Amino acid sequence: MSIVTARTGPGDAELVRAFAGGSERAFKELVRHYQAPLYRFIWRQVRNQSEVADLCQEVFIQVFLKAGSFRGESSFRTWLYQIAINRCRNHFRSRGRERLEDVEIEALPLVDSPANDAAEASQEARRVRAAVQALPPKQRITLELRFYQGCTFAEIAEIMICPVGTAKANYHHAIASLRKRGLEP
Amino acid sequence: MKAMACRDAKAHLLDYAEGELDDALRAALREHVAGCPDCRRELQEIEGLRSSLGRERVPEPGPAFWEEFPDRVWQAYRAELPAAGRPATGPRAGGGLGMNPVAARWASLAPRLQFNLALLAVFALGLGATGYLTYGQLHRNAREEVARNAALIMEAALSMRRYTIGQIRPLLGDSGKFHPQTVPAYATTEIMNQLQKRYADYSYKDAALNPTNPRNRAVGWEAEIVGSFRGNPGQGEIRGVRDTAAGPSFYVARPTRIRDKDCLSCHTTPEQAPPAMVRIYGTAGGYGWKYNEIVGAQIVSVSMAQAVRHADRTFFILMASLAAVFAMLFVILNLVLSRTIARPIGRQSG
Repeated sequence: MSIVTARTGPGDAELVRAFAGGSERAFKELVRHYQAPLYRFIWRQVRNQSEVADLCQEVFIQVFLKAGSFRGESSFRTWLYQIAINRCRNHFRSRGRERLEDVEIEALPLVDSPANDAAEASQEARRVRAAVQALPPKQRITLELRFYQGCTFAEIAEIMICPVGTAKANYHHAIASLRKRGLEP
Repeated sequence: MKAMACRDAKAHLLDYAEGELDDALRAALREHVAGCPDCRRELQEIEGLRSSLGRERVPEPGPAFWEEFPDRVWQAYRAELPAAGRPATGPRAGGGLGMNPVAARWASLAPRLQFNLALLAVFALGLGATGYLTYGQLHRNAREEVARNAALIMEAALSMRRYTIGQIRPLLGDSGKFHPQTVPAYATTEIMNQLQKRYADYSYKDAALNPTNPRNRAVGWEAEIVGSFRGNPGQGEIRGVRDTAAGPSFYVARPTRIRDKDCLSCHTTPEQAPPAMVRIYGTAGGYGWKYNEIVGAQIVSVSMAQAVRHADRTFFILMASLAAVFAMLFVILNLVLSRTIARPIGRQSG
């Protein structure tokens, strides 16, 4: 999992203000803090390593070009993920497919795994990937945000513009669907 | 503590696995699971599922990639600034994202508001430009139409004059009596007065500076026109618009030049003039005219009020229709925007 860790020093809102005031250091600090979780989030969306870094960079650029509209009412993180979700969606549209489910499961790359249990890990990875990708988009993204990004339901609700109860329900439905597919050890 | 029912326990298993329950609920659920094989199995499934999900690893780039990534994004951001309409120098102190205050303010608006403001600006610009061009063209058309009508009336007046000189005067001029009907100015004015009874917007006057008939005396603006012809004998026609109490009035004027020497028999001296004419008009005016002299002007006036009203009404209908179309477009585009962009994003998010 790639939960964003708390950090000492200036908060996101303060860094965004500093960036707006001309601070390159604040810009890079924000990128440094969110680059890895954002990378993982986008990778789980597109599952194509050759495209992830570019998409990640594009999301950051879009975020900073729109930084003038950041008023600090929502967190920088929720705003970042909102833009990332929209960018991934546009990415699929530009590739002529609507979403990740349209990609052949077998065509997806394998994840890194230790050499001694590579075969087992590959099979397990495919099983997990296939099950997650079979989820409806809102459930899948909720699962990604909750399980892999460590977002609270309040944050998920903000990112996905829905009530907190809906975010919780989506997560529970996602877990229930995966259990039905027999995704357990 | 009351034992937890199986149904309640199942509803809390996921929260339990994620450590989201408070101490009391957690203790109650733990107790229930210890004694309920079904819920225990379900909890194991959930934990197993979480474990499976957690085993999936993302192929990570190396530390060198992360080290240089912020610089790479910064350079790409700087390169993107000119395309985004901002200075390539990037953010500057006090400059707010490297944007001027207006651009910064614009960027801070919600996308929907930006879209609507841009739409309104385009509509306002379109409406303004259309209004400006249309208003001018409609009023030019109105003036041209009035000018065409005035030219027609002028040609009709000249025809009446020629008819009077060519056909009426020979019939009645040799009778030894003076008939005003043989005077072209009189005949034309009388006929035009008849016309004006039905078409009040049209008027004709044979204005003269020194007329025999006092009704033909040129008033201020008419005298100026006659003076202009006398000062510039080569000038064949004068056109213009003047303001009157009834609204703008278009006029066209042509000079009255003495080209027929027969005219001088009435307009040289009272002694030479027909006694019958002197008895009617007296000796106060209409004498001393000279051959080839410009003594007056034939002036046709046409009120523009009606044509202007028509132009204004057409303009109003056109602009109201355009505004209605724009308003409908505004609503439709917003609905389409909501259905094709906003809601799908909401669906994806919610």
